[in-house]
Amino acid sequence: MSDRVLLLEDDDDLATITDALVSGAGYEVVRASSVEDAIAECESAQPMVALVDVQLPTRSGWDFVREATRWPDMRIVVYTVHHDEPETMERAAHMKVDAVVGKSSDPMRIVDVIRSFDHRLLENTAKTP
Amino acid sequence: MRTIKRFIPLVVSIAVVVAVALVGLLESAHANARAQQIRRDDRVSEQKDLAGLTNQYVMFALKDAFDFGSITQLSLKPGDPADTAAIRAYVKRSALLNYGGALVGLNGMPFNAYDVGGGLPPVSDPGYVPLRTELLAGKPGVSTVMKVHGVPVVALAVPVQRRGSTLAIFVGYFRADANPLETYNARLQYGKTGQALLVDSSGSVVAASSSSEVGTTFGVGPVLRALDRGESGFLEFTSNGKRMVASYSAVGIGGWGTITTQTASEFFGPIRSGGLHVALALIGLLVVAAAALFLMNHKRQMALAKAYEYKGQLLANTTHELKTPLTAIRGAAVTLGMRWRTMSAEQVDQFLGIIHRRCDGLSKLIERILLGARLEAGREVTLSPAPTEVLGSLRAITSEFKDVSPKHPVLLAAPENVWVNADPEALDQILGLLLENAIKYSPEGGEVRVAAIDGPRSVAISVSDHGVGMSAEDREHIFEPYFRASRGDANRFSGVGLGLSIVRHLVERSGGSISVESAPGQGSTFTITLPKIASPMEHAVSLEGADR
Repeated sequence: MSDRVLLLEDDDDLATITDALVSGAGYEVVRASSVEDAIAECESAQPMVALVDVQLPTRSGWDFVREATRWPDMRIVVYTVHHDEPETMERAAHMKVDAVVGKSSDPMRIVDVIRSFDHRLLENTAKTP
Repeated sequence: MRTIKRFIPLVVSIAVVVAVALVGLLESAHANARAQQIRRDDRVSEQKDLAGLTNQYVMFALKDAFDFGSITQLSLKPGDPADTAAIRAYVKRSALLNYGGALVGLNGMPFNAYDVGGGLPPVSDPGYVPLRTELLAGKPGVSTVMKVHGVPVVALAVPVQRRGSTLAIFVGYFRADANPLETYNARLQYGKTGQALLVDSSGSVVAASSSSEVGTTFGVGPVLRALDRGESGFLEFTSNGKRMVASYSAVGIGGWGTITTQTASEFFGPIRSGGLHVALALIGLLVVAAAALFLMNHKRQMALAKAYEYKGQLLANTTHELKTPLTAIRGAAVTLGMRWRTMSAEQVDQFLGIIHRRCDGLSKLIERILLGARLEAGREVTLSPAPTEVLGSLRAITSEFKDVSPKHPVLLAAPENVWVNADPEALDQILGLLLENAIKYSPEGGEVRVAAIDGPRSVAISVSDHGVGMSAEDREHIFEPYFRASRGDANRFSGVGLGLSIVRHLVERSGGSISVESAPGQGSTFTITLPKIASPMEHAVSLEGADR
């Protein structure tokens, strides 16, 4: 499994900040601003985790989540300001979503979630005497 | 509690309408009852007149018979042909006693008689009983209706006197079904169902407006008993399932009485149906008023519900709109705090730039919400109209948007030196909001066109996009505040839903108008018109010319 994290985000500022935080934690960030770009990046970069903003101007981030079943090993994290809405939780529960993280929560929370999906860290921890 | 308060005006209004209608109905019922009483009294009065006339007529006949018995030279010898001839002559000339006559001894036995044919009722006929009773009481006698071979006959009796002494009795007879009283009654008309009757003391019909009734018995006991007591009055009763009325009045002779019967519906018809019309009209009014109140209240409730829904959406949208910049500001601050030592100067500038830009965005958002709320509340917004060159304004705003949104080509086509009278800041706000709207709903790379057309009295400025467009139903509400939220695309497009509402208010307060053309998937074109003015430079030139 790679150490790449796909970031599907149309807001440039938020993409820059998340990129800085995630790459600062040692991951390679692959950025996409549309569902089409994100699918193309998945095919080429095979990311370990996808951070998906669902509010996008053309196709919704949920469309990407639906298509992401093509990469069963990739963990999907819905990263949105709508995290506290029942509709978001209900949709996430019925789709292949591994976590829902609020953008307005502690900025480092997203890094913690990515780390929780990182098998290499688990393996290293297991090897530690 | 709030629900109860909301319904108080409706309940009060309905109560007022119901009270007015009830007062109207009661008043109508009261007037109706009075009109009916007047009609009853009129009929009874008429009945008394009729009884009086009958009394006078019978009294005249009795007097005539008395004069015959007392003045005519009668021998009073049983079977005297001269007396018989005198009786015949009297019967021939008598107006009422046209059937026959008889001279009767004080022992009650007839000793001379004449009749027009068919014979006279025998002495044993019970019809003579009241006649005898009256005579013994010293009054003229009147029989009840007697039948001779099916012919109804009535007898009147007077004493035959000579020098104050009664020597015999003269009995005159008339056919109840053919005499002046019957003719008179036959001419009395009381609608289609009315019947005028003259009845004797036993209730037998002496005369009637329908001659077939003569000799039959009038069967309404209370009326007969009242007549027996010499009364007059009015009675409502049921006969063969029909509501009937009867007015009656005693004649004052022999227990006779006049009666008029009619169906209640015909007698009261015009009054009762009039009352019914009033009642129906009031009930109709009540229904219409209640329906109008209900609709008015329902409309108001719907408008309030819509307003509440919109306000709720505003709150939700505003929360979302605040969350994104706050997230960016917080994220940038946290990142700077953690990593500023390892960051390059350019990276630090980049993150500080994010904080700065997003704070500006937040300020604008709050200003827009406040402006939208102020305009919606109808509060005054100070505009300072001034001559503004259209092309210059459009150039400034489009170039600003080219920088903000480089992914959307913004094309401009406008004539030079066209001026409008508008507040420059308001115009910037109007154009900025329209451009922002066009870009928001356009796909990446989607072209946005801004054009101005110079008209005779106004200038039309349009902003077109090739975005998602909208349905006809959405077009009707697109300038309403917070409407965007109800289009079901809240998760796809950000915004609080106040932009186009603000544009409409500012355009209208600038003396212009706004319209939209759009179809789903076909993009939208918003066009505003603003009052045109002459170029200030031309104005200056013409003033210069005038100075020379």
